[in-house]
Amino acid sequence: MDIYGKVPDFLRAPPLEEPKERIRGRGLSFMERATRGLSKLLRDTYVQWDTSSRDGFLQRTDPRVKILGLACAVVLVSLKHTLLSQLFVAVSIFILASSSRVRLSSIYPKALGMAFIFGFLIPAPSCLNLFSQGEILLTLMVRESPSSFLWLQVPATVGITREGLISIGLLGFRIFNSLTCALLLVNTTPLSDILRGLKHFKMPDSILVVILLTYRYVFIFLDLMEQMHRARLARIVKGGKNSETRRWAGERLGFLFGKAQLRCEQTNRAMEARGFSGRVRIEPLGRMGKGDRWKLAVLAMWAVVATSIV
Amino acid sequence: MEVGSSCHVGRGGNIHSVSHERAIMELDGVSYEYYDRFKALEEVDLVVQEGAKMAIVGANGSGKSTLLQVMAGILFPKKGRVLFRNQPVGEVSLRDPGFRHFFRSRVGYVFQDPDVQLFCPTVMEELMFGPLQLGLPHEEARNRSEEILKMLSLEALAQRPTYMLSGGEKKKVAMASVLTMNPELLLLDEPTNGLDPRTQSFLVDLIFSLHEVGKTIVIATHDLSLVMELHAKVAVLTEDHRIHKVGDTEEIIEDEALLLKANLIHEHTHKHDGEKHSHLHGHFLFHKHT
Repeated sequence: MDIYGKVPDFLRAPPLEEPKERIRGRGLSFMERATRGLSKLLRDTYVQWDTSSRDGFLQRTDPRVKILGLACAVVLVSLKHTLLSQLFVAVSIFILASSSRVRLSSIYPKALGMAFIFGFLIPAPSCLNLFSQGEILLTLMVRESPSSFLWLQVPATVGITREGLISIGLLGFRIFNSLTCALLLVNTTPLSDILRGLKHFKMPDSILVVILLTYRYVFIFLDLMEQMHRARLARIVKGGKNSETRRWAGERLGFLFGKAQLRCEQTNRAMEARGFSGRVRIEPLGRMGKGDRWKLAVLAMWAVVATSIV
Repeated sequence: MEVGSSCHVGRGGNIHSVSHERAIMELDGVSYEYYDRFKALEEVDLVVQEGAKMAIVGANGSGKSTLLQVMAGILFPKKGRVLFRNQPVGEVSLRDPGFRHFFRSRVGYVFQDPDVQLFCPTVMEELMFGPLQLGLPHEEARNRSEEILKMLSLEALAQRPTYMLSGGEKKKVAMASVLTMNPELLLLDEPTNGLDPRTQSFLVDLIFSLHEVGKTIVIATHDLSLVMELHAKVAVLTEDHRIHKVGDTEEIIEDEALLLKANLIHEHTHKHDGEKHSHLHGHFLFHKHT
């Protein structure tokens, strides 16, 4: 085929000279940040795989003990209403994390960030005496007389109450403890072991399949998303307009959705072709070792102590 | 190593050439790791001359695609430096709108998987995206797109959504979407991978034609038959992620020890009349002149 004869003139010409006027363009900050976030998520996923296979205290522990420990801790932080008991749980988790060769930086910043948003920022107004009465610790505003605004009764002295602070502290602590505990389990246990542990505790197969495939495919799709961003980056000359970026992101999300659906169908067929009939058959965990039985006993004692703390 | 060129030891300790011709892109001691853990490139030194036709060959996982993405300024090396027309390419330099315009309009990168590259609703919009980015008027962008569609015999697909194309058509459209920007350096990642023989042959002809009109072409491939067809300068990337040798096609193809080391050919055992024997084996193209 004679393509040479069909090569258009502009392709035979040298590339465009730079425009004479100064090129204006914004940085690629928004998309860059988004992509860096995706890359970090991918790296974190890798870190999970790496840390869970290290030789540490929790890594050597049977997944059933760890799952029971997580369940115990979550129930405890939900039921206990004192800061002291929450602190006790937090210190226990910290000691476990420190003894398990886990990078604390992969657990604590995330937990602190989420606890700050959901345990402090969102419920922050509730520490004012506008919503619940209590002893005022810090006066913010003094008015001549109380008034009402819509359904809200505004007292003459508006301030932060002790009761409000305690309830926010408790909520923040609960979120923080639950998250650190869950992150610690994930960072010290390979996914296959978590699934085997959950299967042992009679977790329904449909949920196990969803966990397994979500973990696997989130990784694949994040990688694909990052590649698509790079492909766009390679052709972006000026910083893209926000509307263009939004359009691109929307189109790519649609593409990812389609791809996910296609992949889902293909995976389902592949699983069926290998005999999958809806029941997850994985190698069961063996009998718990002596060391793990001891750890279970210690966990039970810990739960009793934590419950007894007022 | 380039013929007729002097050589020196690069920062990465590898021998590479300093040609008297004009280098369009230079890599000096480039290393890259994924997730700060998995090595993809190790102390890579490479010089691409203006108007050259170069093939980076290596086995799966040797780092060919990473190398191309580093050259395209979409991955940034941990160590070493990349120069395009003597100007450093990096995260910082590409933040400058002037340099970004200069670099992105001159370097075109075609991904191995066209699906990640095609993001506009129709083929025509996909082709016009690049020229419009360059600030060309709509009419000129459309003219360029139509000319490229004609060159690639894709006119009938102009208004078709990109997800409704076959694998070969997607590859051609991905290539077309870069060509409308008229880059001087084309980086093609596995351009013929997974395509039927006719489309492969078409793309090889296209690469030849683009080279003849003065484009610098760099392809990453593990397909030695493609390398032989292109008759390109070859850089061999071994499984330790280093450039082991740069040379002419014949020189590289004849170096069986190197090809074996780079996992581009393998030892093959089979039987003839009940007698078992082994020999080196590579999947080269059957090529007959008529």
